[in-house]
Amino acid sequence: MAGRINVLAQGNSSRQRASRSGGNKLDSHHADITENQRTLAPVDVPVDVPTDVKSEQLTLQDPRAVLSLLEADQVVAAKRRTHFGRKNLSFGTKALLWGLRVYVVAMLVIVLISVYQAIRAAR
Amino acid sequence: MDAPDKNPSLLADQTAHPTTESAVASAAAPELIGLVTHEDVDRARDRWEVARARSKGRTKKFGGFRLLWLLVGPGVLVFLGENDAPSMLSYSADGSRYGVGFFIPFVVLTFIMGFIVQEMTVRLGAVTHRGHAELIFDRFGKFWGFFAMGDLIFGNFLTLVTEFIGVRAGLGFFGVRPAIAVGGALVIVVAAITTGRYWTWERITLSLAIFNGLFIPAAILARPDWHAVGHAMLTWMPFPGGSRYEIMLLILATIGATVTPWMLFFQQSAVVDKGMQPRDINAGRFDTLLGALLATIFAIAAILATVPLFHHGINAASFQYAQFAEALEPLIGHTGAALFALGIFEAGIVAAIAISTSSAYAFGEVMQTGHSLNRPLREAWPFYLTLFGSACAAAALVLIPRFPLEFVVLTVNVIAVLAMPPALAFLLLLVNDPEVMGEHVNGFWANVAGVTVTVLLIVAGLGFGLATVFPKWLGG
Repeated sequence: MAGRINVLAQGNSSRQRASRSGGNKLDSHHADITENQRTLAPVDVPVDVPTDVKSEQLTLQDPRAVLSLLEADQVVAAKRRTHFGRKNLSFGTKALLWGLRVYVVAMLVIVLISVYQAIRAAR
Repeated sequence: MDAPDKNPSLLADQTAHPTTESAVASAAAPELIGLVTHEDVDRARDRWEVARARSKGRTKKFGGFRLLWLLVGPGVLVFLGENDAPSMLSYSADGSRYGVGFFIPFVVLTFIMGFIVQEMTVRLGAVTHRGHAELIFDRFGKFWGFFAMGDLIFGNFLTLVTEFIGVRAGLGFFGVRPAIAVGGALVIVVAAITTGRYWTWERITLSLAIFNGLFIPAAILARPDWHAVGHAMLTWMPFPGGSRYEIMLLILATIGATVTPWMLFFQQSAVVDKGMQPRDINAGRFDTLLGALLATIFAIAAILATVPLFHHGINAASFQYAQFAEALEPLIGHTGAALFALGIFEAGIVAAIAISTSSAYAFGEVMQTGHSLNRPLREAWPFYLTLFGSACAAAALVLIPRFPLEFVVLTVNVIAVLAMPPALAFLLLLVNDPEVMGEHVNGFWANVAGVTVTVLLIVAGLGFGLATVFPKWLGG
């Protein structure tokens, strides 16, 4: 457990260090890990379960460790550039979606009528 | 270090596929190494905890509990969030106007419907790692996407208003001024979101949500007739009498208290933000089932707590929030009434957090800006601004003198039910799409259950419409 706490503490201090240095900021677009790579030994990360799990040690400053824990399509940068393409909607699907749209609009009109009646009755 | 704007190969849009492949094994891994974000790091930290718990769970006797503790969250939150102020008002109206009878098993049925629907969002989120709004825009295009978003944002905003009405009324029972009650609620919403960490936000909100159980001691203080409760559960009797229109309205409001569009959007986005993967689907199902079970018990408790009003012939037709607690005070005592009022306050505050987060997730997904509670404020300010802005606007409306709040309260659950069939159609089309779901596509019985829920909601909506337009046809 101590190892885990150390790891998390390292993560925080690394962020603070990066923030102070200005050019090495971790931001929403990319993490510059050059400094971390210099100061921390590389982690040997297998594809499935990280060895760190067994040793209760994790160095998330190493992006390979981060990537080993996430699925390919789970990484923010990967999600940004991959999209599920447009589905070809059949006539039946379009009819269903239009039918439900008409249903919602018609029912909303009815709701407005009922609310108007309720408020008028209350006053 | 290659930034996306410096490396043309990273700009090209590619087609996504459902995958269980580790990111380091991905063909894009060398490029991704330079693009890891805070959000990824935080999510990886959560995944590491899950991987460690899963590994220990295989060897230790109670190791599985740690794994469940880590993976429980979105399902419990969505159901306890949906036990919100207008929902508790609907349950209270059921109990006070019709006593123990039809509505108790009916509430159980609505939560079963809720579980069927929400389980699909768990699978969608865990497999695609995309939010519901993003998937609708990707697969159906902007035209249908904006329709879905319109329904969501409109319904969410109206519901958010009623949550602050609940906060105001709940604390009003204790003599707290409206501005202080609403302002305090906003502070709690902000405190929850400024942690910059999904995990912390989830645990704070869960710890608030569990106070939905305050309705249980309130119900016990009302001394329910357990024999009648058992009889009602088995026979669905007695069936409510009186105006068919009023019964239809209450049935619709009770369904709307359990199955609403914001739940679909919220749970899927929360599953994604939590970093759940296909191997976590069973835990996600357990989470959803646990949430549905807790919410059912608390909802029935709200019904039972207000049954004494029915037995004493007190007309609760126009009761709003705190009026229930005030009317209950001479019947179940000050403690019971205070618990009821606190429960309404809690229901409002948890739902305000969950619903404003649901709007912000959807907005971020559609605008393709950062939309994760793992992001610091400065990196995802449009996401947090949407969240906070919608909460502020709803809170402000509640404080406007003579604003027709009864208009909002009357319609919010009904509108939720009416907007649900199109949302369910998108959901069913997505979970039956092999390009999106891969091997996790809906099975036959899941489709039967999903279509049945959709048809039931449409029939309930049409019944309400007929009862409104042609009241004499239904003897109203």
